[in-house]
Amino acid sequence: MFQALADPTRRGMVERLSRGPASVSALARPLAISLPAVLQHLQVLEASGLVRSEKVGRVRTCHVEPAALRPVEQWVSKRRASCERRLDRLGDYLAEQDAQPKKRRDS
Amino acid sequence: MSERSIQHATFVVERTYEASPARVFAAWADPAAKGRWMGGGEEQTGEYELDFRAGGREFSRGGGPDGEVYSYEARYQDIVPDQRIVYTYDMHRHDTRISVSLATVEFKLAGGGTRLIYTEQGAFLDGQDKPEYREQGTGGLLDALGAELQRQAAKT
Repeated sequence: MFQALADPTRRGMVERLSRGPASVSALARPLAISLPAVLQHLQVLEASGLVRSEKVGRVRTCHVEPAALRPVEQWVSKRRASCERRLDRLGDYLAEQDAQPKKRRDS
Repeated sequence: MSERSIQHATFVVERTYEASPARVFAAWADPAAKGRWMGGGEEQTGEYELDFRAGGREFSRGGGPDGEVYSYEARYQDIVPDQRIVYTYDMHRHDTRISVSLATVEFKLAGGGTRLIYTEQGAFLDGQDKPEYREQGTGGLLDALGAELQRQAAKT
């Protein structure tokens, strides 16, 4: 949380989201940085539990998690965020397995 | 921090994967596969052991993103291949137990893929994992909070 809000760009993103949910491209629009940089900042915010995002179709919508500012919820939010990241990595791992043809053990 | 407290909380995380329940389940059951996705990211796993059977133990210890050493120890309570995993685990920060949880993982066939439902019920012990968090309060004034956090971050 400390590192998450220590950066002015990320504070700006949180301030924007505190006015209501926004898509990643709407978040990026007023910022003079590249989309990958915005996504990196978003990752840090999500890791802190302060911001959450959901992908519906091709659009990722972000919103603040006000509960993250309360101590206990903040902890749960962090635990949840770390669980979400882990399950996303599981998805990446499964996709990687799909991409590489299985090694033949008997050849 | 000598004040004792317990906070209970439940959360659910759901994901859909384009893989069969058997493949998703295998990624939890095989130590090499699980090591690939469980650690990583900013949670550097130093040690990892998995004995995947009812009554079996899982253990990992490593540095968290905050530079503290966290350890995780789980006991598998119930395993139904390709369908569900039930386990209990506790987390320590250094030598302090900070939470005890019951976690269930359900694997459901959804279209051609798998809907995974992770549910955790936790007892969070003695406040929170960082005493500083207690100082923060609800506030809601993100500007003031951000400035304060920036000062604290500058100190560390």
